Amino acid sequence: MNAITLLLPVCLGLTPSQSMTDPVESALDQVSIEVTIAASPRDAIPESATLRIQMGEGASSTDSGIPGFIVQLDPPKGLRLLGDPVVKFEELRDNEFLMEPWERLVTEESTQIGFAVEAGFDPSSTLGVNVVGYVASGGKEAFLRRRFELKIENGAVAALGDPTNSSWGPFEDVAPDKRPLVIGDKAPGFTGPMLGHEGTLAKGSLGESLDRGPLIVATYRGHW
Amino acid sequence: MVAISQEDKGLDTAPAILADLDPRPTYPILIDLEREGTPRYERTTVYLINAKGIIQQVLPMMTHMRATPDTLLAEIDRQSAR
Repeated sequence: MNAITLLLPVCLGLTPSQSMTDPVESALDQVSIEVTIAASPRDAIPESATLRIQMGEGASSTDSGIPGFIVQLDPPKGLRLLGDPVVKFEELRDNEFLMEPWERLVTEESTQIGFAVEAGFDPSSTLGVNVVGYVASGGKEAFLRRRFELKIENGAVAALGDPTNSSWGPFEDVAPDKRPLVIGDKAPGFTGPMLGHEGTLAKGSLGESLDRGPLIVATYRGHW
Repeated sequence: MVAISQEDKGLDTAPAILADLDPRPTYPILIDLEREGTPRYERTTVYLINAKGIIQQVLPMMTHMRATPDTLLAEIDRQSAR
């Protein structure tokens, strides 16, 4: 079977002037996503597809030694993930930092993720991809989130999606009260022991903090 | 800013969390030992939440990458400017 390779470099919606003046934005501009679709009769639904994500130069290795971006896949019905998860950085998977298979670490090299197209696939549907990463360049650093939508068909062009859509999954087998939070969700409260910055323990409430106004909530994984 | 420490070994080790964090946090840290109270909050992730309690941004792995408060605030400024 021959393969048709579609190279779809994706500009991340930045103007040329931004790319010229901001090294971080310029680094983000170099990220590309490609789709390779196995050969199939013209206008027919393909049997399989491969998502290839290429890191932009400037995507940083952090001081914790983890390079690259995270992608969260949001496949439509009938698109089944193939193959093994990315094997690098096994500790991330083993420690459940990444919710595989739908959340993957994209390394500095080109990363490929394969899919099989199965019964029930709607050719008009799109594969959603959240790309989240850290970049540092020219003494500046920033975190990136972009939403892409890719059609699984010959000639498809990856496009920026709705930035307020951070859904991914599917999580049909996960109870609704345990599904990962996405943009637009109401932040749930929590009451429990709270460690003050001076080291004292007291009872604390996330709900009370939420009531006081805008909030940053950061989660840590226990005692590092 | 509030942090949630998930899956700690126990409350007796909680002060060690502060010792591990550099720079030392100036914000409170809620402790969810079994991650039963905060299962929808993903591990090592940062959430930006508006005054109505609605999540505006989700940044996975950000805390694992040792994001500093300065980096967080810069990110909010960057996104607010859009």
